[in-house]
Amino acid sequence: MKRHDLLFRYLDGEITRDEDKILRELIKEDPELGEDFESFLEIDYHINKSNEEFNYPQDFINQVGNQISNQIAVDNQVRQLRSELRRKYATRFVLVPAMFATLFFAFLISIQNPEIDFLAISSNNSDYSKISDYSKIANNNLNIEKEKISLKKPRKGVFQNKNDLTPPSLPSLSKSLEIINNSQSDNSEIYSDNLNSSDVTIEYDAEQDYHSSVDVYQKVDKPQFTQLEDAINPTNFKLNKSQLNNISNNNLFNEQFTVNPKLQNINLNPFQSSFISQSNIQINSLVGTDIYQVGVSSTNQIINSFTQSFAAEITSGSSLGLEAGYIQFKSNAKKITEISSKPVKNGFNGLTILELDNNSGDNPMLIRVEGIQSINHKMFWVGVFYERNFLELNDFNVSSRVSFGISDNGVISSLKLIGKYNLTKGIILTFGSDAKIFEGSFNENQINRINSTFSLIYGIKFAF
Amino acid sequence: MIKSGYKRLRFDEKNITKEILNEAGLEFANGSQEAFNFLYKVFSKKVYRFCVRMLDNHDAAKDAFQETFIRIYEFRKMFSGKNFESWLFTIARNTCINYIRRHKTNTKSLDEVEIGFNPRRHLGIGIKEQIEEKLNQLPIALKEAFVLRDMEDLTYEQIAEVLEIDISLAKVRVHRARLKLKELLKPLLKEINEAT
Repeated sequence: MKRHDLLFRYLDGEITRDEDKILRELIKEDPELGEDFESFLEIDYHINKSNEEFNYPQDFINQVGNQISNQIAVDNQVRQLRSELRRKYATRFVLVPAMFATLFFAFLISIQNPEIDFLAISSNNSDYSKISDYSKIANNNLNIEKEKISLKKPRKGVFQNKNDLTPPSLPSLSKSLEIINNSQSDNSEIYSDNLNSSDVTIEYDAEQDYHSSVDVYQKVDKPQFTQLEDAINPTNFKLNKSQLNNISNNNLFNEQFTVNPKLQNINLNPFQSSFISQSNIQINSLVGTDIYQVGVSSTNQIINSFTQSFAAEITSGSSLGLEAGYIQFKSNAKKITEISSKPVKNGFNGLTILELDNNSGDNPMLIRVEGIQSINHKMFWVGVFYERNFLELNDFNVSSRVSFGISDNGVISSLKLIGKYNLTKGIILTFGSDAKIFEGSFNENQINRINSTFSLIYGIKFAF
Repeated sequence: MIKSGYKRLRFDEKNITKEILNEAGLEFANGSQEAFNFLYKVFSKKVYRFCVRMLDNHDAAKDAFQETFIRIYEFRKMFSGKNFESWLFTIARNTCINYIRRHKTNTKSLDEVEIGFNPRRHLGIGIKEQIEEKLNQLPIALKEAFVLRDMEDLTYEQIAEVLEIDISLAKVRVHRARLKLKELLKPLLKEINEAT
């Protein structure tokens, strides 16, 4: 142990009782160590006294403390306001897209009109009876008498006139079967054993007006109509799509339908619309990686984005839809904090000004403290877009998409150039570029400004 | 940990424990104005004293003091919750070292450099002033260790954290500084002893 070690342990207050005894003995034996001991105690005493009597610039200390304290209060207010706004906008961000989505799908549904769509016929023969009519009849268990009255007159769209050999749509066909079943004609006997007597029974005077139409079905083999009968649930008139398709694909069935050229136009695709073609609902997911950005004054930025869109093809090669997404900014921005003895006007972007109203002039210097501000900001947005193909080459085509929407920071607009490669039916690989211009702020001062990014985008698209 | 202990505490340094300081530090990191006010009240004078002793110039010390607290405010979220006092003095010490580097006019190494001009230095008013003056003759590595230990009462563990060195090295530096300061003050102390 060195000479002064015990002495220092004493000064540090770490000495034990035994060590204290040893130290006292050492001091007795070594007067020089005793002198050192006294010197250290003297210095220690004066240091403590010096601390007590230290001359502090109390006003200056208070000012610095008050300024920072006020700055914290302002920060807290801003943070509180921001969180309130975020909460407020978060509600809107759920409601607005939900409203947009509802309206959009309502629009799609309205143009599709499921009643027309279901067993819709492309030949604009919209006068055919609708299946719903029959469902009503079935569900309400209308009696024969009522139907007698209602069907005494030729129903619109079933058989327009005597000479028209146009066969009815499938509901009409089923109706005809029932007509046959319930009529007193000889033809009806053929099928009577296959039909349930509890089914909707509609009496119809086939001979009166439409005997010729019934003749069409006389040529059809019984099993075909059995299939048809199976396809139509006799109790609730629900159609089984697969069975209907089987029927439509049957040669014998088709043979009968080709009696009239109009029959060829009958399309049994239940999801067909006169407005939207078969591959018209498109869902597209796009992931974006930033290439270049303008206007965000920070360094080492990473900007990622994700876009999800839903669209409907409105005309050949052009579609209208909704898209929503988010952009994430990560960066370490340089930040300068200043303290000035002179009042400084409003801070500007990237700079926090702490004003010290120090009239004493003791500290006229402007203090600049450089620091790093970590930015991790997410911006959610939603908007509508219009997309149009302008180049098509076999499985590859190129389109441009213009969108306009709102984000939690303000307005946003983007222009996308998208290349699409048809991988397989309904699955399309998409890639391209995305230029966005938007209102946003990515610094502590929350000063809004116009920013823009340019990103690579890639994703996948499904068409239904 | 005592929840919001500093709020219930009547301001009295004797009652302030390390846990209370750390708790206040964490609340300050989360944006508590009250916690900042408490910590500022506890440490502002200590930090100011430290800056003055490190820079030996009141104006420079004011700048360093402001800068220290601005940095603390700016980087409050980086406080880990472990030891607020060490974290605070680390920032204060780094600020002072940066200030010295920015303002040094000679080519001496950092260990040898003497800061500023103090007219009191040559007046020899009393032992307090003499101690302050002789302190500036110590190399900065010894001086900062001595100031933190004997003037600001930090533990060796805290000094090691602030200076980013081992505890044993912190002790060595403090001991060397004490011995050297004693040697520098020897004539004066001898004079005082003889006078009494």
